[in-house]
Amino acid sequence: MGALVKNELNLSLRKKGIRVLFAISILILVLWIGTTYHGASQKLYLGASYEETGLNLLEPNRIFSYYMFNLTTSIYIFPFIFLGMILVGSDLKNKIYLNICSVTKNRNKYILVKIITTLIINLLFLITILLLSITISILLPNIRDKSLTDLFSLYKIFSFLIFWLGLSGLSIGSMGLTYFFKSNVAGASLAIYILLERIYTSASAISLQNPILMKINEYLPWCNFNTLFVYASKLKYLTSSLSHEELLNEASVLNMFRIIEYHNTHVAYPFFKDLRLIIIICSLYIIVFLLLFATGFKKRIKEG
Amino acid sequence: MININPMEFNIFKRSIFSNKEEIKIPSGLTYLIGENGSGKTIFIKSIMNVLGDNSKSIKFNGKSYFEEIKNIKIVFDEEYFIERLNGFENLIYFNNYSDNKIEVAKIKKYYDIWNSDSKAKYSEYSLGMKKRLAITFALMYETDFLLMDEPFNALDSSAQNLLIDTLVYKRSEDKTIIVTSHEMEKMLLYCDHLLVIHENELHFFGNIGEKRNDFVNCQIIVRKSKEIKEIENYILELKELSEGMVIKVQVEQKDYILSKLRELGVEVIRHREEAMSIKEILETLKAA
Repeated sequence: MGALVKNELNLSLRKKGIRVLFAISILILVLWIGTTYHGASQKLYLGASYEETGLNLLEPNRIFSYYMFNLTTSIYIFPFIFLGMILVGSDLKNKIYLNICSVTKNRNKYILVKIITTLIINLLFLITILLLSITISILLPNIRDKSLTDLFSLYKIFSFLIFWLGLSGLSIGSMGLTYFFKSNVAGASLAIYILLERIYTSASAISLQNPILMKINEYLPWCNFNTLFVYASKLKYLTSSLSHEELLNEASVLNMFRIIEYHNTHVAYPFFKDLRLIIIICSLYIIVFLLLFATGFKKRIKEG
Repeated sequence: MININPMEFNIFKRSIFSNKEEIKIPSGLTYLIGENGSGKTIFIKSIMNVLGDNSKSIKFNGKSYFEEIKNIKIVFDEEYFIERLNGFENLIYFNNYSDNKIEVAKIKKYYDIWNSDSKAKYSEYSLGMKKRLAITFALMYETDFLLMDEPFNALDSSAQNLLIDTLVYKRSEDKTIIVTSHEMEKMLLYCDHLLVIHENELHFFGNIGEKRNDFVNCQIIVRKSKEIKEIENYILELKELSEGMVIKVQVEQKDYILSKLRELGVEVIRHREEAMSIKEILETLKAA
């Protein structure tokens, strides 16, 4: 298995698509740091306090989480989704699974190798983002606290794990869709789906205020993955007992709403499910993605 | 020995062909023939549970395909390799998946026999180079069973001769080989057994021996000449054209006839080998 994964990794890292995605991820990071720092520094020069400017969020201890929060709650998450499609797209086009079928009884080796490769490449992406963001933060002049005391705390490691496994889950989703529908467009469509779900969420909660549609939304994939990533970026403890006020500061990006009465009017108000429940729902979705992948793979073999 | 139990070959629940009796294919070279669309490729792919599942009805030395997979290799009608790797890298990649992995040195040995030393990516390969790589991929494992679907396609004459020599050598080692090919004139002269798909039925004829010479004849087009009478004992059929004649002779007598015609001063315009139709072959074998 080790030789298989090593071979697959070598092959994948040579793909132009993977290198482009990697470059785009780095570019997004650098541009984000640049614009955020510039805006925050302007406020500092105009007399705002250090905390008010948000420069504290760019400190080495916090920059990675803050950046990942912005990335995973926007369309810029797409490199991680497209990764899955790129890893299997050419295999599907060239039907290499037929050659694999002719040499091994255990055809599922292919699926396992692809999943492990996805995990490793996502890990490489995230480690690069982590190291680069910390390095840039250390070099930025207006950042005051440049310590790295918290970096290897348990909750930071847990937070990193959530980002890694959550994003890998979405990559596997893209892989599964690509194989199941025999289409790269289907695999890439997961990124488009994110936008559509956000429109659906707004419409169901804010425009229509339909309780049934809002209840459905609580179980949709993006809503749950989105919330999971928000939790991961805000974790200060290993439990889900987070400060509600702190989380609600980021209300604009949350996808779960309930209707409450406020000053005699009905308003859509964001809320959080328990972290453990979110993890369970996301895990179920990852299992569904894996089943899509396995089923799609078997289907393609049957078609010859 | 390959055993095919009486069954219907199905793909997506559609019947392609069937065999009413058990077929036992012994070692040697078996030529699988059938008209276009009769199901030759389906037969080969369905053995490995691809394009339908007939894997349980076909046994290799009494074992199913999956039990005996280390001892069976297949050359597909199309090639399924990774475009961004070169040929050698492709063989190493797929060898890593193999249940009976072989050493890189052995892969290199077979690669050098069948392929030129090209660092080009597979995507840049010609059709003939792709076919050579597919053949290398099957032969390098030295298995007892070899299934080859259109292995001669796109090969140049030297590669075709090399393949024929390889198949003859494998036959001498008591390997069981099934080949499909449109090169009927070539294959009929070398095969030991025939597997025929005709009108949705599968027939097997073992040890056809010298009968194979009846299936292929040589057609020689010559200018009209009275000297033809000198060889009339060898002529199977004679047809007159406006300015020439077509004479049909047995293929093993071709060289003798051609030299005789030259001696007699008869102008030979063209000659070619021609195989009987599948229906004619089947009728000949059934009559025998």
